[in-house]
Amino acid sequence: MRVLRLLRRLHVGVVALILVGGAGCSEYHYYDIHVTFDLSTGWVGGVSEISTIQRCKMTVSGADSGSMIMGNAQNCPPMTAAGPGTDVGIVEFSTFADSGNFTFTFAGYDDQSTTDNCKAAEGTVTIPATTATTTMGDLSVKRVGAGCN
Amino acid sequence: MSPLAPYWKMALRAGIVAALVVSLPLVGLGGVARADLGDEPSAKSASSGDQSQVEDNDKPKDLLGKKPADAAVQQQKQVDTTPIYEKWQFWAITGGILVGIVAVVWGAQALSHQINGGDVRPCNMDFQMRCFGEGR
Repeated sequence: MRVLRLLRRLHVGVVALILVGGAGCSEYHYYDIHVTFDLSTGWVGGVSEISTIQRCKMTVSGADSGSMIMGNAQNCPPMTAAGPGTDVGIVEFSTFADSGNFTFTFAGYDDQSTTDNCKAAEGTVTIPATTATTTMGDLSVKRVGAGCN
Repeated sequence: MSPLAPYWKMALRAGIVAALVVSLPLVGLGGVARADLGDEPSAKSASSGDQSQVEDNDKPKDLLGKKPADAAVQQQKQVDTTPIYEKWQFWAITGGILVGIVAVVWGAQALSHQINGGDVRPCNMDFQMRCFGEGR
């Protein structure tokens, strides 16, 4: 009977452990940032100047960090079926962090390099981290210089 | 964005938990069976004890004859001579334990992966590969 009792306790313990573990210690959270160029911020020639951008870089800092370089394949510069546009689209960042703040910084460069002197556009948005699976945000990109080309 | 991601995760977790709950009793099956045999006297032995008491009252004991204890020892010797690997119970328990171990190892790996966040959801086609961060 002792063996039976021991086995029963062991079984209950293991099952409880599995259920607690199954509840999950880490959860992915996704931040979907909709990036658009703001034409009202001094773009000479409108979308034509935006189309001179060759590289874009999204950087995340705060509760988590990361960065991504984008080119033509990722719609940088933004294009539409009719030609150059202003809407880059959604950039998604995945993280385990669910507290604090995230600062998303988007920069556009008129060169293949991403050096500061070639930066022509920039925009920033700060979003509080949440426990939600997906959090949406908007990021407006302004003209910040003439670039290096 | 795929709203299915959380349900998929829940379904995977439920599957892992169910697999482990089913496999764990298999591991302990052999021990439980043996524990049952040793703990309580069987109905057969209880009834044979009653019979011997009845016989004691009615008949004189044959002191030179075979004693019940000797017969039991003899029977035990016959049982012990059979190699354990020729018994179907041995293979049933061994098989059960092996299946249980494989299930527990697989379950532990899946659980560990799940605890570490599981799989990141695939990048939405509309995002044109503009996905980065943990798991990517």
